[in-house]
Amino acid sequence: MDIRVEDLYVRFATLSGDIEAVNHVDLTFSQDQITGLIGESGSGKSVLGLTIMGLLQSNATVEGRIFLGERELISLSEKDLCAIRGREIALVAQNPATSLNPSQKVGRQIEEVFRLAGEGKVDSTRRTHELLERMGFSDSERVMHSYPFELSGGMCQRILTAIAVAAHPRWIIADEPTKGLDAVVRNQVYDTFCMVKEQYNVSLIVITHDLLLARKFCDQIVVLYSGRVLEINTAQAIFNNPRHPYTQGLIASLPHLGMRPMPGFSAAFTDQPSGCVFHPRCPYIDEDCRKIEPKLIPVEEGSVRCHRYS
Amino acid sequence: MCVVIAILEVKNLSKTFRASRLGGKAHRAVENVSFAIPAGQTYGLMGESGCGKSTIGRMIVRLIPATKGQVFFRGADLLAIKQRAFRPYRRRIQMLFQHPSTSLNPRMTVLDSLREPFLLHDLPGRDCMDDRIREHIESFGLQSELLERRTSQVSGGQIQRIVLARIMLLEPEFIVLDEPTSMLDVSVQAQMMFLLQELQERSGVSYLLISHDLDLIRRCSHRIGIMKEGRLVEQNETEALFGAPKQAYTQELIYNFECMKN
Ligand SMILES: Nc1ncnc2c1ncn2[C@@H]1O[C@H](COP(=O)(O)OP(=O)(O)O)[C@@H](O)[C@H]1O
Ligand code: SF4
Ligand SMILES: [Mg+2]
Repeated sequence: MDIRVEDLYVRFATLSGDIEAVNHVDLTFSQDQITGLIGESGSGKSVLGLTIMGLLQSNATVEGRIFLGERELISLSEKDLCAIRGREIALVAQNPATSLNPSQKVGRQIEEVFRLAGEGKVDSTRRTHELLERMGFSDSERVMHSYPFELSGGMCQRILTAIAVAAHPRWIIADEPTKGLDAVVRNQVYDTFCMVKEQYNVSLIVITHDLLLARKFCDQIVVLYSGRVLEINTAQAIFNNPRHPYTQGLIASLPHLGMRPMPGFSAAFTDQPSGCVFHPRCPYIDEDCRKIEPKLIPVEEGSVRCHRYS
Repeated sequence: MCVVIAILEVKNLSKTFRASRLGGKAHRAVENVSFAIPAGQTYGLMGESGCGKSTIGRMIVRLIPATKGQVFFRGADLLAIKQRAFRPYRRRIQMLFQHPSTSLNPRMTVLDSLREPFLLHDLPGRDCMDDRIREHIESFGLQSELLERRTSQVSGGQIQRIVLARIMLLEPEFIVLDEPTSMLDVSVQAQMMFLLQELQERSGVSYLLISHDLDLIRRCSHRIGIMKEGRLVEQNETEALFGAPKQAYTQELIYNFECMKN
């Protein structure tokens, strides 16, 4: 069952004025593909994820449509959304340390998901053990009896993933699963996601600024900047033949690919440039760029929001 | 042996954290670590989180006392110097932290934060410091409008630049960079590291770059030390280390990074 986002805008009322954190996003997350949402912090990745989950804060207004199969999610009541949240679409939130209940042993937190699904106590415990072992914990007994603070960041990350997986959702949205983790732990998280994909038949959206993870794990990549989609393509095309100047800049910023810096900063949401949002930083800028906002233009296998391709 | 003059030399540095009164064992965070950093160069200290990298950085700037060992800065043993005599070194040796927000007071404006070094360290040119600050931050790619904002209203990448700009006002000779970009996006990281390299070329400042990112360390360091569980297991010139890693642990680290790239 695909997730289709149509004409989506998300606005926040803030003290320094209204901001558009998601600006005219049209996207299909295909159930057979892992999609990576990449872009620098503040580009709107998490807001997009939270909008799909119906979890935005109260100062947000949402315009547009989000379909899960035939069902439109934005117009659903909170009660109907609750039935979808966790069971059909689960979120592995950005910060594992604060997303787990700090005062409850992690075993209990996973068991609860099985209990809610109607399993008895004994079965819930057994299945929690099994799940933890599949998640790569060799000492599931000890882990079950630990509090979150007794586990490392990478372990908490895998516990959160276990909780998401336990309810057998169709979709998992993972927000920054490797943020701040070192290489060994990052590879473990990657292995966990590979296992989840294969054994649970779940579709995935991975929100990340870890470009290497996105390349290795995702089939399709969406590049966000200032709330807009600048480029969509296969992971291969994004890395081997990035078309948008911003995507090119991101990839050239990687330490092993030269670490060449882009000029400038992304503009504040309260002070968006005219025309192309990227124009103040773009090496290819011309007259049109300052005046006319480019549309998403189809290119081989994907699309790109830049006048140079029209 | 190289004949380059070291600006900083760490000798048999160790740190044991005593058992707390609440229980737990004494913890040997750093054991007998020795390395030297030639003037004008960057020494990259790489290892997984918790291996003792930051503890070394903190001992060098005397944020925490060392259990054993010496730190020579231009020949003077920093750890043996009395508190009073250490004062001038507080300007010459600086540290940049992972969480830039912790180094600035969120209620202060950017301008006030940049005035602080003039006042605390009694820098010359106090009477025209605002002009100097304005000129100074422009060379860090920061616009002077920023000066009026509170530091809590500035983005992470810009904060890190402001903190660096403040440090550079002091004209330090040596900076410990403790995971300076690990919370930043790759694009902001590239800008920040580029800026640091430019400063090094211009002023000859030397760095101890602490990071768990092997790609970053490789890109930015002249020489690299690999740490594991408090010990320095291997050190060498950057390309020599990658060309022929001797220790199994180093090979494993390199392998783990290559994994993500293939
Ligand atoms: N509740 C909120 N109120 C006001 N602004 C918000 C709120 N939530 C997010 N934002 C803003 O929306 C923008 C996009 O944020 P986010 O989706 O978290 O970015 P990312 O996940 O890509 O780092 C940011 O400028 C952020 O400050
Ligand atoms: S539209 Fe113009 S400014 Fe924008 S990315 Fe393309 S070339 Fe650059
Ligand atoms: Mg986010």
